[in-house]
Amino acid sequence: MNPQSEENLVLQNTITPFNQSGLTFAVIPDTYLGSLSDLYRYDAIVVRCTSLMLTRQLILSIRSVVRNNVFLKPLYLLSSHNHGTATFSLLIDGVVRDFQDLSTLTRNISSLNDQVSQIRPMIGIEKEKSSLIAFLVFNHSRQIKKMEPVPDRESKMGFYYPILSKIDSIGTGGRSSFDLLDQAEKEGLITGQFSHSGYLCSECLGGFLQYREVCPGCQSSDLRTEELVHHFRCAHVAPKSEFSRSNPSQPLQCPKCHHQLKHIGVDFDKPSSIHHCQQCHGDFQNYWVKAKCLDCGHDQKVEYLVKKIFKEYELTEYGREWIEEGQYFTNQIKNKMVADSMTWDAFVQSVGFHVSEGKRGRNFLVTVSFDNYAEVAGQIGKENELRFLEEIMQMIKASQHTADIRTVKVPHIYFTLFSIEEDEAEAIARRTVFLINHLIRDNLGIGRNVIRYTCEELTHSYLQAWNQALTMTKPEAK
Amino acid sequence: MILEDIYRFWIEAGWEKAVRVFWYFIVFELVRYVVVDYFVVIIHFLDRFINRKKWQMAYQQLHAEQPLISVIVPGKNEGKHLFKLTRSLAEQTYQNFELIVVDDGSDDQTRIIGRDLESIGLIDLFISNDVRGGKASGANIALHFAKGKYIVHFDADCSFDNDAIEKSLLPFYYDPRIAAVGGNLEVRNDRESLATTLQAIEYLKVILVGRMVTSYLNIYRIISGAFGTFRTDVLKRLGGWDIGPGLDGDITVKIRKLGYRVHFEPTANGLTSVPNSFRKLTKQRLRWDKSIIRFRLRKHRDVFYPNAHFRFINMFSSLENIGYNLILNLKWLIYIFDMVINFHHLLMYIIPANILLYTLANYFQFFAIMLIVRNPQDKHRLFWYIPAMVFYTGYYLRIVRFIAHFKELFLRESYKDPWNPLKSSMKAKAMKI
Ligand SMILES: [Zn+2]
Ligand SMILES: [Zn+2]
Ligand SMILES: [Zn+2]
Repeated sequence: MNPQSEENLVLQNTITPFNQSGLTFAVIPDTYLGSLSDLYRYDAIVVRCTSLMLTRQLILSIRSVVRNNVFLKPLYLLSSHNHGTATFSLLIDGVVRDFQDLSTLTRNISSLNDQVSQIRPMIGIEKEKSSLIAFLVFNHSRQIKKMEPVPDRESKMGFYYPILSKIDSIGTGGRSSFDLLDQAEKEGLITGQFSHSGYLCSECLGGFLQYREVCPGCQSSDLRTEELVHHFRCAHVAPKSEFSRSNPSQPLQCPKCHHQLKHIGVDFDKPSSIHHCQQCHGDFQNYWVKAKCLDCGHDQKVEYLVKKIFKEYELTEYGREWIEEGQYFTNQIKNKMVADSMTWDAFVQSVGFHVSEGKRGRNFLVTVSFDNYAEVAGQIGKENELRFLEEIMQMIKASQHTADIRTVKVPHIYFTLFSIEEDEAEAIARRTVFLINHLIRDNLGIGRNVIRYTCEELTHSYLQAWNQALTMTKPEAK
Repeated sequence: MILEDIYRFWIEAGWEKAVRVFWYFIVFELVRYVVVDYFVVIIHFLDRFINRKKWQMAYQQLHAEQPLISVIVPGKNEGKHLFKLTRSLAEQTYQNFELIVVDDGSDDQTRIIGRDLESIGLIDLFISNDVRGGKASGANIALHFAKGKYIVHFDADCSFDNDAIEKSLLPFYYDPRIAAVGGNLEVRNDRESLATTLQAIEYLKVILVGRMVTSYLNIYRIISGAFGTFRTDVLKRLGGWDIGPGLDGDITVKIRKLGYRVHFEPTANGLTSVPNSFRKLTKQRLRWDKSIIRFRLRKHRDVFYPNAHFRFINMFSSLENIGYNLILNLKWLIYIFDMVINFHHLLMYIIPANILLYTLANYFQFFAIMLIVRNPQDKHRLFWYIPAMVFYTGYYLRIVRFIAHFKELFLRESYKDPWNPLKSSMKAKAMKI
């Protein structure tokens, strides 16, 4: 083998880092078939386009890597064409002609990455849900307000919602992405408006159908259609072909009375037309229209096709909050009280009240954060999540004074250490976190520590800054 | 008092005078409608008895062959009758048939109903024309697509005894010279009004007995389009039906001209609805009677000319028809004039006696009908209406017929008849048929 071509082969299947304006780009040829999970390390992705089909494949693959938020990475196409109408145009952040163009994108990339960094990666969320979340998060991150179905030859129904259907097709246990959207609409995350409707195969819900008229007798589509001719003077009626003519310039001649048919409306007319099946030789006016599914081969009368309404969706206010606050992680325990803890609002009020009272001694706030709460929650299971949090609350409570309070706001847990010295507070915090880590490691078999903590003094200025930060992260609507 | 008067008058007048006064009745009516009827009824029973083996053979042959039959139903705005018709057909003892319905430019729900019935398989072929072409063209379309060995032509508003198709097929196997079979039609809505009751009696007289008579005399002339069965090959050879009205009689004459026999089968029974008021009945009869003139005298005048197609029996058949319908009508007029001019002073004696004679003759004929009708017990009710038949057939129908003949002979009105589309009528008139 020619070493030159071998080298090309290697390059064709390699992610090449490229540094520009302080950013690191991952340059991927569209022939790339390797792992995509490391792409989270780069600031942006550049796909080198040689073939539309391969490019499409690769983009869809990248946009479906949920792990470490790879699917949210800024992604650009390196191509000499515009691709504005390509089915993947909604999935890319832009097209560049050469590497020099990348420098003009630095601001866009930074602001995109800023937004994306606020979105915690999804782990431990069931596949179906994560694909829906990824769909909503992606569109939200790209400020796509109206999520419309896009015509697409590669999608089962002929339409797909970037990026939802792609994720769907790699396996959601047969549940279609459309069901996920219906469900999300029911939950109030999105609202759907009629976009258009179409018909699907009743067997496999495929949207690619071949329509044709068939003989009602033998289902053949080998039909010949002819006009009927009615000769007034003798009342003879027959298909036109049975009225002969000696040469094409001559008028038709009636086979019954042998008169010529010269003048339509005076000598004759054409009352209707009729279809003749060339297979079974049946005659009929009323053919069936059948649709053959190009996916599963099922052939059906159009009356039996499934009518599908495609909607365009918009995120509701609730849906936006749901995404921005990462509430999909906590949905399970959101409305349940964790015993021995306060609600977040009550906790914030109580802390403020206590500090402003100015009692003697110093006050500390310990913030315990899970590195990956979703992973932990996924391991313990939904049913045990509440009990698990309650156990942690009891451990914290055991190391506090009676006046201290606690709250849970996953992936964080906050507790107070009022009227205490700094080194004592630090020691209590460290020991408590050590115990919690121990508990989790023992119970879940996770080999590393899963929580970190900070211990900060609750001064007036700290509370002020804290309150400010809280109001900033709250949605404007509130 | 008056009856006594009349009675005494005729006793005193004697036979010679009675014959002179009632010549019309004795010469035409008595012979034609009473003597012949009984004669034919007797012949019928004898024939069925003597040839019972042959009829049995015909039955076995039909069922051994089980040919496909095409039931064709052309018509305009008949959609409302179609479902009932398919129900009636589903009950038939003979089931190897296809049903072809032609919608002749209907402007109601017919097309939708027909398509529905076609899609669920109750109609085998439904052909819907956007423009009306007339009854003949509708039947011809059906004929063109018919695949059956025999064609059964039905009207959509008729219903049939469940052995009607079978009974109308047997004659073809009984006598291979038979190419067309007419079925019997009775009135379905006979209890609806006086008009329908009188028509019920008339149908029994004219169709059941009348057609048996003409069939035995081999001068049967009209196979009703409401229920007629034909050999498909013969119909196709003739190029199907020609433009109407009177196409039923026309096709029968054409079949006879080819040398085939035309048979009336009294045991093949259908029911039809008739006009329920005298006003509607008059309209219908004017149309029918006009067609007699047109098709007997104009289009098929060649049956009177000695040429290659000439057959004595065809001429006789037409003469009988024309005679009894046209010439007798004129004779009747002459008779009335005769009476009014020569016996005007005796009219008060003649008219009641005339009515009495006719009524007696009608009862006499009604008994003949009772001998052959399929369920006589249903017909007893009609017995009380027989006296009214004198006025119905003797005066009402005669006057209507007279008007029709007059209009058609001198004004050629049937060409203006809305029964045919204008385009066809114009053609026909230009062709002098
Ligand atoms: Zn012609
Ligand atoms: Zn076919
Ligand atoms: Zn399918």
